[in-house]
Amino acid sequence: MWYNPNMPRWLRRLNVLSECRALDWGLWQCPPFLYLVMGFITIIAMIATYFFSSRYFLDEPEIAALVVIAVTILLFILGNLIISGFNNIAEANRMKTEFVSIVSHQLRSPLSISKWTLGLLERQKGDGNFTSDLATSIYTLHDTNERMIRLVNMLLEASRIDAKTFALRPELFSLSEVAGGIVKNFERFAAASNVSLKFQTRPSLPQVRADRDKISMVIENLVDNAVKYGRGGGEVWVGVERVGDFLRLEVRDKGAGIPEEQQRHIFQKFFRADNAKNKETQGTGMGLYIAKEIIEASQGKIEFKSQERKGSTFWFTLPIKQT
Amino acid sequence: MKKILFIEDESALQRAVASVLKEEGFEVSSALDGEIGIRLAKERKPDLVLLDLVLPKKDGFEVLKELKENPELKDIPVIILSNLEKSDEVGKALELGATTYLVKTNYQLNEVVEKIKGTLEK
Repeated sequence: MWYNPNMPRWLRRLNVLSECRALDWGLWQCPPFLYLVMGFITIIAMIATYFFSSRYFLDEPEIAALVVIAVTILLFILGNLIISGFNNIAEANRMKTEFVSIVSHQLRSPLSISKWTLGLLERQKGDGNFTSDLATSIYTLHDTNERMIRLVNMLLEASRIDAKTFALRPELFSLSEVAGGIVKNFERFAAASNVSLKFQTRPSLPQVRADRDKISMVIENLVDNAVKYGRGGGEVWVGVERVGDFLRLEVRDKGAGIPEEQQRHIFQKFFRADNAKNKETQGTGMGLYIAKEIIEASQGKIEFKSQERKGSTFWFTLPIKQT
Repeated sequence: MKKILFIEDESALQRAVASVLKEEGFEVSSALDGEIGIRLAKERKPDLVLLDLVLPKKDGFEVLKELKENPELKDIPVIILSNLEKSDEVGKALELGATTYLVKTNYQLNEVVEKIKGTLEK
C-alpha cells in the first residue's frame, strides 16, 4: 500500500493498515484499525436494524431491541480493546523513559570517573612531566570522554522531550562566558578537523536567566555541527552580541551547507541531510531537534540560513534578564 | 584551613576530588556512605559538604535532611554532586536546603573547585 512519511498527516491516517504496520502494531491491537472496524459495524448494524425491523419485526419489537442490545455490547467490547491498546502504548512509553533515565545515570558514573581522573592527570602536565605524545593521548581520552558525555546528555534530553517530563532549571549566567568556555573545549577537535575556530563577543554583556546546562548543550551541538560538517581549511566563527532585549549567539561555518529542499526538515527528530550522512557516518540527528525544544522553552528563538557548498549560519536568541 | 567533607561512594571520585582540594589548601574528610557522612559531619563540623545523592546505607536526601535539621550543622553549605538528572532531583534538593546542584559529568574538576571557593566566600 502506498505510504509516504511526507504525506500530510490526515491523509496518512486514512491509510490505516500501512500506518499500523509502520508503527509495528498487530492489526487487532491497532487502535486506528479497531476504530475503523467499530465504525463499520455501527453503520452496518444501524442500516440492518432499520431494514429488518421495518420489514420483519413490526409485530415483535423485542427482537429488534435485542439485536440493538447485542450490537451495542459488541461495540462496547471493541471500545475496550481500543482503550487497552492505548494503555499498553502509554505503559510502554513510560517504561522507555524510565529505562533511559536509569541507563543514563549508570553510564554517567564511569564517565565522571574518567572525566575527573583525567582532570587529575592534566593538572600534572605543568611540571613538564609529559612528553608531547603522552599529552596527545591524554587529550584524546579527554575529548572522547566528553563526546560520550554529550551523547548521554542528548539521549536523556530527547527522551524527556518525548515524554514531556522536560523541565528547565533557570539560573543567571553569562552567555559569553559559557560560550567562550565551550569554544575553548572544541579547539583541539577543530584543529584535528583542520578547521579554525574563532570566538568574538563584547565585554559586560548582561546576563541571561536560563538553564545553563541545557543551553550549553545547544551551543555544543551547534559548534559540533559546524566543525564536523565544515570543510578542511575552513573557519567556524562563534559570536555573542546584544540585540535589543535579547542576547544572540551565532555560529557561522563555511562548510557543506544544507541542500535547500531538505532545509525545512532540519529540526526534525532523527533527520540528517543526505550530504551530512555521506560525509560523516556518526550522528544521531537529534541535536537540532533538542536544540529547538530547549531554546523555545527558554523563551528564545533558533533560526538558520544555509547554502549548499557555501556554508551555514545558525543562531539563537535568549531574553535578557531585566533587573 | 577550611574543612571539606565529601560524601560519595565511588572511591575513584573521592581520590580525584581529595587530591585537587588538598592541593588547593583545603582539609578533606571522606565518607563512603550516608551514615559515615553524618557521623563525620557531627565530629568534624566541616565548612562545606559535598554530597552525592545515590549512597549506600542512607541516601543523599536523608543525609541532607538530617544535616539541616541539626541546629549545629544546618548552616553548613551543601553542594550536591550527582549524576541524577537535574530536573528531577534539583527541586527536591534545593527545597531541602542544598546550596547548589552540580551534575558531575557536566563539570570539570577545576570548575567544581571554583564553585566551592565561590560558595565559601559568601
